[in-house]
Amino acid sequence: MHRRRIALVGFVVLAVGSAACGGLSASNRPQHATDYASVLDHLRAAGLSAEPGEEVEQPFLAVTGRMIQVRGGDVQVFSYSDPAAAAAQAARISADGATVGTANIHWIGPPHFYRHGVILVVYVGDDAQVLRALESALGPQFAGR
Amino acid sequence: MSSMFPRRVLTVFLVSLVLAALPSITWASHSWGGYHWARTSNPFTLKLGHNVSSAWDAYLGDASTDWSVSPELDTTVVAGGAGNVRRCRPTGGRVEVCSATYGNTGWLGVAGIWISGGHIVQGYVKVNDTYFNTADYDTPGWRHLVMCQEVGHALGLDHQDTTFDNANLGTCMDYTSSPYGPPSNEHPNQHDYDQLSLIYQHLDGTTTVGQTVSRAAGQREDRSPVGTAQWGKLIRSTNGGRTEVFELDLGGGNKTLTFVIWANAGE
Repeated sequence: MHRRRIALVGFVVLAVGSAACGGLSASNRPQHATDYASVLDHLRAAGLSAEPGEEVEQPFLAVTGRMIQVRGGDVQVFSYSDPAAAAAQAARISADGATVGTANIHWIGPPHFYRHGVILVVYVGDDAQVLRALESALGPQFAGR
Repeated sequence: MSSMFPRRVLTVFLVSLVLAALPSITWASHSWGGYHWARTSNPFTLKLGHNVSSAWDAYLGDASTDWSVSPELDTTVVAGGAGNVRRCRPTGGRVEVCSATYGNTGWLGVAGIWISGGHIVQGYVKVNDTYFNTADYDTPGWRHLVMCQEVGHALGLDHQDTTFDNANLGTCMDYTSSPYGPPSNEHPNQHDYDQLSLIYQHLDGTTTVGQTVSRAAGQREDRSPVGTAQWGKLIRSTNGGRTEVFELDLGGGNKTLTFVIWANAGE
């Protein structure tokens, strides 16, 4: 009887602990950007002066993107039809960001690639504040330098 | 004991052979995925289509001269066939070189190639005047570096180094913040020629140089190197990107699906 009670308590504690952990992580988890507007919002929330920019076409990416002007540079945001399409595009980008499929690119500065959901973001530059804000918005870069 | 001596001699001999071969092995190591033009003899001549503004004339000419130093190949500048330079439509069997103001794309130059059976069948080079029209980049150093590097990619070379702020390697296949160095990164170096020798030391049973690209189902000559823009949206990718499906919405509920199997590098 005593042994059974201990086992039961142990189960309840585990269940509560698990629920508490789940609840905490859900409420505290930073929400990642899901579209162009939310990338813009994240950059502004990080205290950066960010403004919508022009469309951008990259010969090596499947969709047309749109820029966000921030701290003298451009963040390029590309929205795909679904996460699988974005992931497929990301899979064609080399680890150092120098090649995409069979296109070899001479970047003007160090490239950084981020992806979350349907969003693929390219930032060429080395501004630490912009890099921190993008990592907060989209998670760690998956390619680049 | 007597049998040990020949073994030692053999070991020393083999080590000497390896050491003797080392310079050529270690110098050349920047092939771009094994991509190369197919040809049945060396040297071969690759045409570079002239679709650039007059500001680029000298630099395209210099890049052609520089790469022609390679014993394996020659390049020659010919009249362009790319049509609209913004699009820079490729021509089978050669490389179209285009200049335009492509916008604040983040790149100074880009080279794209099409692969069939591991062989390059056509390519393009774009240099971005959005940046080269600015004082920072409108210099002989930057123009030499980028034109030379992009044409080098179209020959099958990758970068020797992609760190901007380290010491120059003395080759245009090296990223830099200072093209003039020293040493200057405006032209190829011996490592590049050594790598080209390795890439093109074998001969193929056919040639893709100067050949018109045959059209196959789902392919168009004017497609981009990632085969995307004209095929619509990429909707599925499997096998690590080797097989892909693109969807083009034609309106009225009609769609075209294009299935692509990408060739392996180095086949």
